[in-house]
Amino acid sequence: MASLQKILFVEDDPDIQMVAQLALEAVGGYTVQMCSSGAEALAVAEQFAPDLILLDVMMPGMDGPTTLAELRKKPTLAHTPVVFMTARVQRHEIEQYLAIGAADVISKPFDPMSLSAQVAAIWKKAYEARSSGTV
Amino acid sequence: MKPDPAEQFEALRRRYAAQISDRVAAIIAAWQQLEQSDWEKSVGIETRQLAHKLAGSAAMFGFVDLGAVAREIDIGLKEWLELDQPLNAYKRRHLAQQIALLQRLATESKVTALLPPLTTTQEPVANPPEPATLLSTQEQVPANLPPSASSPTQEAPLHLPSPEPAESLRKTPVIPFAPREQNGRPRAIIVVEDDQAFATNLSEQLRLFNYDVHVIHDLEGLPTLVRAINPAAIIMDIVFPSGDLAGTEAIAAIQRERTEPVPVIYLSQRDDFAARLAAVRSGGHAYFAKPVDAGRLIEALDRLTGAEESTPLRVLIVDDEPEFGQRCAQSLEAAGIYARAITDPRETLEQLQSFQPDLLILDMYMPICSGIELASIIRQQDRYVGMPIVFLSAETNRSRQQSALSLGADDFLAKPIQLEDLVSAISARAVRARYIKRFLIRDSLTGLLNHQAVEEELSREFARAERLHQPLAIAIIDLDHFKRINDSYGHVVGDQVLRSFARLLQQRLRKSDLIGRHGGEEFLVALPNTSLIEARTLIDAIRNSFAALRHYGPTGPFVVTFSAGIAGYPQHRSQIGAMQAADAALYQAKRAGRNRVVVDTGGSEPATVHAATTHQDQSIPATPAPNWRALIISANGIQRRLLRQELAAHGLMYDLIPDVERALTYQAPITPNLIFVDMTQIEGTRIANLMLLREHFAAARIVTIAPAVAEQRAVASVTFGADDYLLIPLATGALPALLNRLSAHERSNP
Repeated sequence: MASLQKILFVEDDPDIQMVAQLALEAVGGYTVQMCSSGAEALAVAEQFAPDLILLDVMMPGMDGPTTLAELRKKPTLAHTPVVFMTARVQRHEIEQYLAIGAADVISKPFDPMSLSAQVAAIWKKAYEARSSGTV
Repeated sequence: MKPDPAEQFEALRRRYAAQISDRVAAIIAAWQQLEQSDWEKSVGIETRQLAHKLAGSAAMFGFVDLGAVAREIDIGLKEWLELDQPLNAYKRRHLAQQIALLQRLATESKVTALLPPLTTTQEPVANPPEPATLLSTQEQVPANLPPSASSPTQEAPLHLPSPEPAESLRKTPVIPFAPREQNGRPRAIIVVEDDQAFATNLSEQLRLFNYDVHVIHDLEGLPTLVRAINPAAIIMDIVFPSGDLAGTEAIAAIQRERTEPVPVIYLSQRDDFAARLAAVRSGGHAYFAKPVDAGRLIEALDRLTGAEESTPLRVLIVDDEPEFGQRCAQSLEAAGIYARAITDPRETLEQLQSFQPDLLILDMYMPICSGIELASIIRQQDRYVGMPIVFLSAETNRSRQQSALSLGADDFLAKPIQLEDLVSAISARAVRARYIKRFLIRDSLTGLLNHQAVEEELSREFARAERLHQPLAIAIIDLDHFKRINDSYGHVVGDQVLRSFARLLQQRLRKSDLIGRHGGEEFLVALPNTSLIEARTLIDAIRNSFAALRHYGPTGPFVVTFSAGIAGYPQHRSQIGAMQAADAALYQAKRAGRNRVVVDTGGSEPATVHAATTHQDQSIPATPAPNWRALIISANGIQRRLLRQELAAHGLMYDLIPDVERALTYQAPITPNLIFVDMTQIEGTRIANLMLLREHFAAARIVTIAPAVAEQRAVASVTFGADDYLLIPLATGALPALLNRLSAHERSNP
């Protein structure tokens, strides 16, 4: 089975970036590419070829859903699991995000110590769903 | 070697903490700009982004409260920006409250971030000090203490200063009273400690807080004891003769046996990383380096043993269809939410008062008045500005829903409603509202009711006592020589003393008793259905416990005492009368040497002590003076005490408010016609406060209070609009002279 190795993290707040980098690299052992905006993510994503993308919903400029739509236009990223990060955890909003193609939604603020485990579980679920879908 | 992630997080957290005040300052600046720009959208967007960012990251670094308030601002602004309509007045007010709260929390988080680590250099003290001493040993007395502080009176405290009190107390109607139960059953705690003297000492301290303490000196018997008493928590010394980390190994073995881990608090001489890590790995929940501050330990214990259990959320439903309301109530109750349904909207205000819901569900269309009208009525009252209101309606017209939202609704639920949606839709809102409300009525340092809330609750208790013909005892408690603690050991230590005392009160009083921090080091306790004699016994027992409690300062352990004055209903028929009498009794306790409880000797004449001398010395105006009702606005506890004693002695009605902001929202019990305001409240950048006071209390005279050394500034205050000034400490006759001047002025300007 394939494993989760590379994560693209898109978030405009430098504090959250720092904590997430630490949480995903030092605790989880993943390779993390940080981006501060949707535009930056679009510029680097293809080359970095992440296994999973964590995407902040509310960012200045291009917001999370728009970024997702643009990412999906790139053939190599059409099936990469994208997880939204948001402070708004109301159910209908979560449903909206899932409906536009997010693999899952992580609520902010997240617990730095358990972020890696959370991400790993989401990736596993998405991977299994995709494998069973293609069988 | 790569640094440990936990340490790196800690470094990030500290860095973040250091920036909090700047971030909050930016939000406040943006907010001010927003208000000045008359709610210009672009400024709103910028303000919201700043709040949103803070909300997103603060809790991640452990600043949960700060994050929650920032989120509230974020959501409020978002709603405004999306509705594309001006926010109504109460939503603006609510936002302004949140901004003020944010500022307060930022100040606090700065203090928290700067807290020094627990010290390891102090040797624990083997023996508890003598209960009645202010400080345990002579060398710990700070140099600036006068001799009286270190030579306390050894005789029993003087409770009843007058020879006739027994008779006046007998006038109390004989009413059966409920037996006094402490707050819940004592919780079992096991202390594992090989140092016997330390263990004895610690368990004495814990018992003061109503914990049932079992001490065990070695590790062998521990598993059996744990199985036998199933403790609420274990307090454990890590270092034992059998091994450097033997304690953590024993705990790990016990935790493996259990389905539900028992909370463990470690104590240790060691404060190194390896010891802390071993503690965490074995399932420890807290770690204290010796010497241990009892107050902090109790806080941790209370948290771990669930002493602060939360009460169920309360929801009030107003719907004219009885069946529908009942069905909602039932499904909410099934989810553990305490719900009440009423059908007549006219009962709403009364129910808000008696049921005290956290959230309100209103039907949109009702025969007597619409949900929107009802919401407007409710929002007109300041205390309900933050109350979440959710509308139920079959309304699907988006624009009409929006107009309801703009009129003060927080959410919309469409009928017919899925009952499980109802629960999930409202519980998050109710929890948040309760959280926010806690900030507004609780004192942030101690978690007790704040000044305003305790006074409000007290008036409710007073009314209840009258209605039920039950006695009500009020105690005003003031820590002795508190200023010296702050001066000698710093505010961090002083704050810890206040928190420990608050904990002690909470542990020793009933749930139905009222406990508030009245300001500074002064606390107010109201005991329903309690006679003055019972109250004295109880408060005196607390006094003994508190005096036995050791606090830790930078130079070692020290002890603090308090003085208390008690008065009550029916000896006094009004709240103000009882408060003044309790205050006068407190004053007597202080004058008689502190560390004692004095009971008001009854009668409606407050504070006869002081009046006797001043009245003889001073010529009281021949013409009857106006009936002065004074409001004292000052955050300075000493200044307030001096002034209120004098006012009580002259038979003036008075009330106290810590700052101008709260004075402007002040409501009953008195309508003041004389305002004493501390000069610092109306000087410098706060000079506009004087105008606000003038406007708000148009019929009142305004007198500034200033320290005698600042007379020039006091004179200046008159030139910029005060009616007069008063210098503290009061010279003999200064107050009557002032009242004379004001009365004369009153007569010449009818």
